[in-house]
Amino acid sequence: MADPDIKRLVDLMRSNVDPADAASAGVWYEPRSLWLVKNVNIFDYLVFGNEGPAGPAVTVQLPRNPFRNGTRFPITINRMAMSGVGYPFARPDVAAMQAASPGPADLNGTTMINTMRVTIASPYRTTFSMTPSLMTGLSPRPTDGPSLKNTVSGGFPFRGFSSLFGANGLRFDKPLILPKAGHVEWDVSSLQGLRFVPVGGNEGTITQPTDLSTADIPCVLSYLEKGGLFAGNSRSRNMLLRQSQGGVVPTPGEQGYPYALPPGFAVPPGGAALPFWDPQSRFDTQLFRAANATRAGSTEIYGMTAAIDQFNFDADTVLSGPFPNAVMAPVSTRLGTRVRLVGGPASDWWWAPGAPMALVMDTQTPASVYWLDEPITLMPGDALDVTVQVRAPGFLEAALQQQPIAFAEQNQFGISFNGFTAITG
Amino acid sequence: MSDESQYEYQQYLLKLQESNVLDGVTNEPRVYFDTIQMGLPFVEVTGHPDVFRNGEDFPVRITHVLMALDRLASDPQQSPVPPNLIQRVGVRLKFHDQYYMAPYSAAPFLQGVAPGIARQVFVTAPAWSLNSVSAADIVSDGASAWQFMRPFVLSVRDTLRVDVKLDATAAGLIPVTVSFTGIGMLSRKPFFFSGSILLHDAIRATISTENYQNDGTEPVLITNMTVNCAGDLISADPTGDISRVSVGVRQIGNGTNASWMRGPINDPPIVPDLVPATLLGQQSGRAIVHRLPGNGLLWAPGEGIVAQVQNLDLADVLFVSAKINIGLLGYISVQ
Repeated sequence: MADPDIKRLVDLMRSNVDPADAASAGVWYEPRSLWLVKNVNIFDYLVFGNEGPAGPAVTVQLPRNPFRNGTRFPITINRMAMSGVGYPFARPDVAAMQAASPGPADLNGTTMINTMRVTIASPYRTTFSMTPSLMTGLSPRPTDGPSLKNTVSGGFPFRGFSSLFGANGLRFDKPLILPKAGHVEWDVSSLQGLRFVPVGGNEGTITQPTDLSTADIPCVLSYLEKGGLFAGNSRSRNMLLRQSQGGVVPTPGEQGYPYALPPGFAVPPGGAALPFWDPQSRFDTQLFRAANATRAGSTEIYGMTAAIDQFNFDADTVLSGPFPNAVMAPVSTRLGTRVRLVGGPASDWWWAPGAPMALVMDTQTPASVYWLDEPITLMPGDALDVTVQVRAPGFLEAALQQQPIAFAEQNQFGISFNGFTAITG
Repeated sequence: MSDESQYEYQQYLLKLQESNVLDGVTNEPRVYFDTIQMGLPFVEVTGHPDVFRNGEDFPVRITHVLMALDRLASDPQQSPVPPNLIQRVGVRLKFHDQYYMAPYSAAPFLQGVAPGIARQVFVTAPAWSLNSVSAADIVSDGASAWQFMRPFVLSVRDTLRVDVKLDATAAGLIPVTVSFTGIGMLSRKPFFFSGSILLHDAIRATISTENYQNDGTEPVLITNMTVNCAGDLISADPTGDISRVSVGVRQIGNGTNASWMRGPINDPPIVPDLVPATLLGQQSGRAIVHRLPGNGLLWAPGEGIVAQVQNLDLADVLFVSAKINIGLLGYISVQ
């Protein structure tokens, strides 16, 4: 692609081209995300003697490839999303888990990014901060739904449920103009069944492993479209997210897919091992076409939502399970997704397959989302440099007291950079 | 219609005022709401007739759809209803032979239903949600905030009549506060109007109109409305539950002087001009908020739609007595 073409594309993106004119301008917009899930074992990086006053912290340079624009078109990044990934709990029942497991245990949850810091650099610019910034200190946007705390006075104990609505959504920066013969396919992964594995040992404690709920989880995937006689319409598909109860422990690849098991948890033995991309959890092109409500030719898709009903799943664990004081994590932090437009100008996946739903559908999400004040445009081949600093809370105190180490030695987090691409030619 | 366009319209009105020219259009907020009892699983239940209909002489533009479960079920034994069961309610709006969001979901797989059994299932309510409206945890349980798409003018000497009620008798007394904020059209200074009342039961009460009277020397452009429900005074928990409150508003003076809220009639305990306050949480609150694409729906006089719901909960048969509240928010333009 010649330089003038690139300049024209960037100018078009910055001039906020009216989507209705996109076709005439020769530019096509699609969402894009660059993401990574990383499992950091602090002992792999820790140099003893370098502990700071707040305990030991290690700095990890994340690989560049996941944050590289590997397509032929520029990608504009305007948001960053972060979350703990793979954890069954947002906030664990620390007392119950410590009682069951006096040794190393997972005392983190999806909220673990509260202790992490991040440094980001982009090509042709300097770093965004001279010192690592606290992840949650980056002015998070209000993206999550209401909690269930105290919603029913004198009623049921709703404190531990993951959310009120189970809603996840992405509003596109620029509407996707669906071509007449185009269709979008969307896969959601199966869910890894988990059991809590108390370590015991030091005190001779023997506690049986505890399986988390094995309930299937109803889910509705929807595309939201604009136009027609009635303001708009949606194409939606109901499905069940199934949990695999056995199989091989996944090994994380460079992009963290499939995700490693969170520390303190293992795969339940036996049962059926489902493929990561469960055929039952597909919103395929055939269903997409069948759900066409308007048949009005090219339409504008302005967003997509995933409603995940984990009422039974949460209730099994917090109402009748061994961790009554835990707060369940939305399973969108454990689900992989992939989406692409077929029959359009490009058939690239919108993000590397397997991205946690919470990280890439960031308009409504349990992840922490930060909007960049100035967007970053990554030209083909460009990449972001991302460094994170992971701290182990409570380590120093435990070490000084010669106690069995009761902190999270592993941290599993995800980080994504979200925006859109402008396709031409 | 974006937040920016709300701001731009507000600036437009203020600029018109500066040059002492008005465009001759009076906008006033409107809420059309219905309370629909769930039926047996998969049964399509249609709401009250003629509720979502423009019964006035001027056009109405609907911009938002809000949904939340009613705190109480029709069967008192099943109350309070777990609010997160709204995840198992399918909703669609019908306009002649057009359906919004869609007539049905594709290839439904539901818990308890064998895969492959075709059933016609509405799109669930949370799938409509693409707006995060959660305020801080410390207030979100007890508050609903509405930012008007078109602000209205509270003229000099005008006031607002604000009626409120609880959904059932409380143990003690519950403080309920309704507030409005705006901008002075001449001075550009902020204005706050707020009134409170202690409620004990489901009997309608009026907050003193003195609290809302514009007794200044300039008209005020009212941009926002907030309803707050605090905890019961005899409870140790100061956090209230906004789903306990219903509210109605009408302007006294200029404007249409008609009630902003329009619900079903002849179906007690629903009061047709008192909307469940959860349905006012368009800016922040505890309802599912769906902003209609583009400029929303424009209803000429007499036009309207029909709402239908479907119970998708097979696991809990008691859910049939639950009720869902649906609200359509917008404004009427009087010329």
